[in-house]
Amino acid sequence: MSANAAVFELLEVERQRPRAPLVGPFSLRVEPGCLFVLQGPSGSGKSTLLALLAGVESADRGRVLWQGSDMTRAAQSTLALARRGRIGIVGQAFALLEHLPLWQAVAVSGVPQGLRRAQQRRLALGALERVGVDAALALRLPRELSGGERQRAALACALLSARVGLIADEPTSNQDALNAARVVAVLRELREQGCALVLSSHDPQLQGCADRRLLLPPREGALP
Amino acid sequence: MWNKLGALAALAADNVAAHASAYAASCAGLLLTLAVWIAGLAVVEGQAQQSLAQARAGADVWVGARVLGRHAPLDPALAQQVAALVGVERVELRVVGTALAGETPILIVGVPALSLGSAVRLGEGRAPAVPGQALAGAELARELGLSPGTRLALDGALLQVFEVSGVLAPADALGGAKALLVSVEDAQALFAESRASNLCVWTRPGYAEATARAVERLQPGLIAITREQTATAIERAKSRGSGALSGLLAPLLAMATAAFAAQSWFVHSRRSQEIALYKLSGFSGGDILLLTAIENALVAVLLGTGALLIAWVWVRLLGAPLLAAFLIADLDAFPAQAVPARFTPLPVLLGFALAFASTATGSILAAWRLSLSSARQAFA
Repeated sequence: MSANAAVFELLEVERQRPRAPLVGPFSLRVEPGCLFVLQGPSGSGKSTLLALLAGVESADRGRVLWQGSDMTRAAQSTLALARRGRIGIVGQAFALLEHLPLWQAVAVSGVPQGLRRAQQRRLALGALERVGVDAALALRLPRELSGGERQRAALACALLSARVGLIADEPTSNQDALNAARVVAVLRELREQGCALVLSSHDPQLQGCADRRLLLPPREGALP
Repeated sequence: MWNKLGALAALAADNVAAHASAYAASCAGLLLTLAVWIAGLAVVEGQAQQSLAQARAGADVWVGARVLGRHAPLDPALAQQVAALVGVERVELRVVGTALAGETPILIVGVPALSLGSAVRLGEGRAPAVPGQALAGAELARELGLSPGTRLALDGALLQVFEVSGVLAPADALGGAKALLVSVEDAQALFAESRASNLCVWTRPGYAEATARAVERLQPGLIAITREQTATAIERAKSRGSGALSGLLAPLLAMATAAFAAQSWFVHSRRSQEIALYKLSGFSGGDILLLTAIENALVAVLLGTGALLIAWVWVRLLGAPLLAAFLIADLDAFPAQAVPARFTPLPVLLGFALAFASTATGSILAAWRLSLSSARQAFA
């Protein structure tokens, strides 16, 4: 890994699956401290591109690099080690561990990092406060939260890992104006700390503060 | 590494608590099978331990006779011959037979009058002081409603009336049997038999084996068994009992393990989203395997503890109903007396070992499948 390597890099990446949007070929490069926003209509392949970048989907052609390391055909364990404590990921479903109290669900990324329980709790409560989730909710189960709260809690979960990069699929889609502004503020803080962010969003507020944007064209045959 | 292991263990404990009902349903069959296994082994061990203690406290050499493969009575004069052997300190006659109390067959054990007071443990009453008095086993006393002062007509070769002077403690070797302890003379009178059933011989230290061989040379058909041989026979009987119990329960445990495996598969299938989230949060496949292994270990500890607790209550507090009768002769299905039992070390160790083996075997496939699952599900 070179010292000035991009955090995320896609080189001529292409992916095609039956009944799924054709993606690519795309190339992009996201350096530390860069906020990169993917735009495009629904079905244009934003989520698929993020999934390729996050290593949860595999590309048919091209290469995916994290901090200069080729992750295109990396084993699950290699990807897990590369994510651990470095890269936070928030999916569109803002999934959380449903069987644990919220603070534990948020702190789960601290487990493979070997953080002690007290430290996990402190970090989780800090992250929840940062995204505007009331501390009183921290002991509740995630299913007791509203959609907006869940989404912010999922972002809080990713914040515990996002020291180098963050990949988030529409992080403000379920937020009211106030909370959307709060989320944007948190993302800006991350950028200022040198974290590379790749997001998809329809939110003009988020698009407005992006360093770079990529507009994906509508998929052939997709409804306007 | 230890910090990570501790964090994984804490998460595993939370997961087991959160999925408690699913685990409980999966483990129900294993729990019951292990409880029966532990309880049965505890009773077998306890009985063997009690018999060994009695054997160690008893005579150094036991002498009987067999003629044409059947037990035969001994001439009382043989006692004098045996007493004259080098190394012999004391010889006692025993008369053993069966008499009827109404329709109930009762084991009659005739021992020297002096031994009636000294060699037994009394639960209530006192030792016989005059001829015609007897000590009743606890189980017999319960069944026939005997207590000190009760009179009992026995039909042996002759009809004779005995007065119960005391009841043996349930922990006594004969306490659990439907037996009546009387003097040798009373037993001989009851059975109209002047001969003895066997001899109990006490020797000087180191003379037991030589005395046994010398006794067998006195007359053809005599059998002399030393205390060590008795202990070996008890150990063999214990092994046979444990083996028979294990033979009966092993197929049940295999079926319960298979049921646990099937349920684990379904429970783990429902956890695919959870595992995908772990993967997205930086857990490797190895971390997932370690997490599920710790969860299984915790389940095994809970399973072993639960089975031990059920077995303990079943045997110690309830008297092993429906179980002791299969393992101890002359006991009812619902014994009123305490059943001898020993839970440490073998039943407890085996219980936990089987719990670990069953849960590990039953969940290995499901855990392996989980470790291979992708993070995709948590992202979509």
